[in-house]
Amino acid sequence: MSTAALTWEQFRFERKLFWRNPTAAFFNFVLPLLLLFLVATAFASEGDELDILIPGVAGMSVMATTFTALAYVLVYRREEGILKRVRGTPMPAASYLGGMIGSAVLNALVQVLLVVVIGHVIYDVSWPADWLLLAGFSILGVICFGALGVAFAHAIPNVDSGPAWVNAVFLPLIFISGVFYSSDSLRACSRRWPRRCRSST
Amino acid sequence: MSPAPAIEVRDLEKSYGPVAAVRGLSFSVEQGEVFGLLGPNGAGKTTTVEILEGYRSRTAGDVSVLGHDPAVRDRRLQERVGIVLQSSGFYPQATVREAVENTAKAYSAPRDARETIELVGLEEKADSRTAQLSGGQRRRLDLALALIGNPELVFLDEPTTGFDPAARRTAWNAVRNLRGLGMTVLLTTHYLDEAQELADRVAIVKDGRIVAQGPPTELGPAQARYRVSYLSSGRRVEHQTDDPTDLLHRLTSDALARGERLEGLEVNRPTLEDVYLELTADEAP
Repeated sequence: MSTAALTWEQFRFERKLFWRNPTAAFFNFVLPLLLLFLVATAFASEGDELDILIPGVAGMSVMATTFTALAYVLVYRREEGILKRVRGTPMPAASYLGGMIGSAVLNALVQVLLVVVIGHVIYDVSWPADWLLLAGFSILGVICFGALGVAFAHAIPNVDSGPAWVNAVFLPLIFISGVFYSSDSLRACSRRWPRRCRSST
Repeated sequence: MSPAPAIEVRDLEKSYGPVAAVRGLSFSVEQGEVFGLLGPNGAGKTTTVEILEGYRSRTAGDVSVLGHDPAVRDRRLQERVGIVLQSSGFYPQATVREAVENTAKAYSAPRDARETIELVGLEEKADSRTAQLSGGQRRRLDLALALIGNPELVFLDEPTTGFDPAARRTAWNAVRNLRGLGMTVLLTTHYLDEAQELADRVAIVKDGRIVAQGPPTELGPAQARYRVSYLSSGRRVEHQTDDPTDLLHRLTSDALARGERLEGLEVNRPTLEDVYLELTADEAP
């Protein structure tokens, strides 16, 4: 089989495995949506805040389905010896990784679409002004976070420490990148902080 | 002219920093042969096999596997080789059949998946998730995944470690089947009986060197002595000899002359175990 055909076969296999693993499906699809409902119900009474929150959660889902999911699954497969076994077969590394990443990307795109639709239908946020821009940034995000997830898996020493390592990156990042509020207000806040430190000394 | 050996290793060395794991190994494995690398834990067996499998680089020496240098990752070589690692996992959500079929896709001319599952005796578990397999069944799936590409050469790294006796017998039969299929097998083990049962030739490895090499039956008598023992007034008396014929003749004729019987008479041919223990014993007192 050609490298392209093997990539496609691995992608289909990954999809099959994904749906067989209810917890993975849960974290990929339900958790970001749950977060969306909770934050939207608790904090966003005004349309303005929802305008920021919905795209923010969409961005967060891209990171959760690519960066987080790929880092976890790669560390797991490495520690279990699955990657080593695959390397002993004629399966090209490009096909194997390609299938895995392709599956994560599909999850990300489905998730972004879900968040956008729910945002419109339930929270009455307007449709994206420019669908092309949404697609462009989603694809860019998927490429960056997918690559980072694969790279970050190298740094994680074992399966048990995986969540700690991933969250050490994931949680600060969703806060500083303005998932729950506009990043403008964050910039104002970080400008104020050092001054307060100086004044207290 | 005899066909080229499946594996040729000359003066192989491997160091991890200042620690030398393999210190000048040489051996060759003929086509169709089951060759055993036997030695205690930490002797350098797995390092040697992983160099041959292409997982590790070597520090020095020449290595040839089916005419290829395994240090260069080459699909043409990987098509012809099957690997059973010491420990490796499966996708827990996949069934046995799916795991085998998924691996088959990587090969250009794989074996039939159903037939391969039967070959390792997992047909009743074919539709079970791999997470539900017992230790012995997992090892058999390991073997199935190594065989699915229809390899000429199979590496088995400690294939029965941790098995109960019945599971070991089953695994041994599976390895004998491989020979029947014309495959060449390189086996590592620290079980003597396993090497004796399965291997056509054995190399005993200690501290990264080969200390003895040959067919298991020939390794014995050449390097260890027969033991003759019997009971004398309730105590076991043991003699060691290179030639038991003469000793037995003397012992039995003495006993007959005294009108006694040699109770509990045993003659033990030196086993591979005796050779092994002698060769791998530490020099320290």
